[in-house]
Amino acid sequence: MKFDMDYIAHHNVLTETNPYFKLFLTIILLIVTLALDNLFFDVVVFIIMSIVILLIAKINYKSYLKFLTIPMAFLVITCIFLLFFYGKGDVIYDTGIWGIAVTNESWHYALYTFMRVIGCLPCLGFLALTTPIAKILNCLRTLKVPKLLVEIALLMYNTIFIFLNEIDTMQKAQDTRLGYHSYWSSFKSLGALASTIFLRSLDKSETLQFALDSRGYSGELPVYEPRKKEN
Amino acid sequence: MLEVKNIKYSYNSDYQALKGVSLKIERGEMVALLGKNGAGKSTLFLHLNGIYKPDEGQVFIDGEELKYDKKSLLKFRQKVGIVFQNPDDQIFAPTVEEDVAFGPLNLGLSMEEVQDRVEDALARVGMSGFEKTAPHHLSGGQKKRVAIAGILAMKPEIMVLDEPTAGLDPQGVVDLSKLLNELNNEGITIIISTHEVDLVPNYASKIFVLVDGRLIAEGAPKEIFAKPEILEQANLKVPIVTDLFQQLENEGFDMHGDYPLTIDEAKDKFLELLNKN
Repeated sequence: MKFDMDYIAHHNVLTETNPYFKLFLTIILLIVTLALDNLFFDVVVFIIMSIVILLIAKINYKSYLKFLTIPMAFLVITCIFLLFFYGKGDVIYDTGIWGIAVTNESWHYALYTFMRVIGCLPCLGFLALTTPIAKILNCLRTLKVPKLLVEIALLMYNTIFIFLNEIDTMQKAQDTRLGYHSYWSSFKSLGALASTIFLRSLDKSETLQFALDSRGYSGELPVYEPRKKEN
Repeated sequence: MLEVKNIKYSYNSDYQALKGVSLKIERGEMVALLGKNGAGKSTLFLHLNGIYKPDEGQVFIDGEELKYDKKSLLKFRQKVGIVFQNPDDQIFAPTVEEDVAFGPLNLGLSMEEVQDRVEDALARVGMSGFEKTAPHHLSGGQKKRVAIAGILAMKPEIMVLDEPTAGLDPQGVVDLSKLLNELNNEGITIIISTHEVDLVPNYASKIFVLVDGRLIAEGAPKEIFAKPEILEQANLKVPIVTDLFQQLENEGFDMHGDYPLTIDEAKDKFLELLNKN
């Protein structure tokens, strides 16, 4: 199964829930979690938000796990580094190699960082998995976030899918011709892919500009307000 | 309606994409621009609403010369709508309705007017109900229709379509032809670039043939498809039904130089031949 976060955001029970509510809930929970810095609270937030995502929004648990694994990998690596290479104080555990050791300070630091992220992840996941980007951007716009930022995010959001598609197709084409057969050819193929994608992106951006100009683009993306449905 | 006078355009000093193209299209016509890949069709199209400024030559719309200041460009871009070949190049907004609304909003219309136009345009192309959908969740044919709706919503007088049938499935092609015929009947002038010669006689009243940045022929489909030397230069073929009748002539059936171009014409011709024998 492919993990398509955007598809999930459009197809879950909470998609149509007020996006402001979701956005503010997320922001407040993030702030509180970070400010309290309490291990117990982190765990509680993690459990509650996971329940909301899995049982209320009815998002497939496999998708949720996939959402968690990507940042989790970074988190684990970061915390291992914090644990062994950071902080002073009393040594709790000495590896005996070049004086690398876990101190009580580094232990404390790694543990709190880990739990803080654990608490924050489902909060962000709640927003990202239940709210289509278009709605979040609209919220940001009405909340007076600088136009430039919202416009860049909007253009990026759409082009990223075209970009990913392109990469996917090219990678399959390379794979078909055994481009990833050996270690060395993988490196070469990946390099070729990256440079081609760069050139193609430039090309695409020019065409997009032409298409926008053709419809009277004036350098600023106007905001459309859909009609409120009466029923 | 639309007149192009001796346009020349170079991408760089070595390569001249357009080497003096002149053409004239009357109001309400539906014309086809034929030519192989790289003949300059897309380049020519981008001149029609002032995206490219020609090195030499002018473009006239409704007898008015195309100017390149901001205000005139907006006016002309409302009149001449271009549907790009790849809808992914054109659709940029996160939802279908926002994308269709983009053009009308740029024209400075009231929100209510824009809402009406978005609804109408989506209904015209048969995409009502997809307002809130993200474009990347649509199929190729659906994206194409959204791209057309985005242009329709600007109420153009001339609609320019760059290879509109590319990448569509057969049913999609039929639906698109139908839509374009309807629009044309409502008075929109339509210009289509294509290499699908089989379809051209069904809709085009006139054909222009572009080869290496030069217009080598123009005329009714009957005239153009009767000139093998022109078709050869442009890497084109006659429609498949025409090919059939040309081969029948080799077998001894006299066609009197009149070959059918469409299925309908072919049917009549067949019946005529059968009745004779």
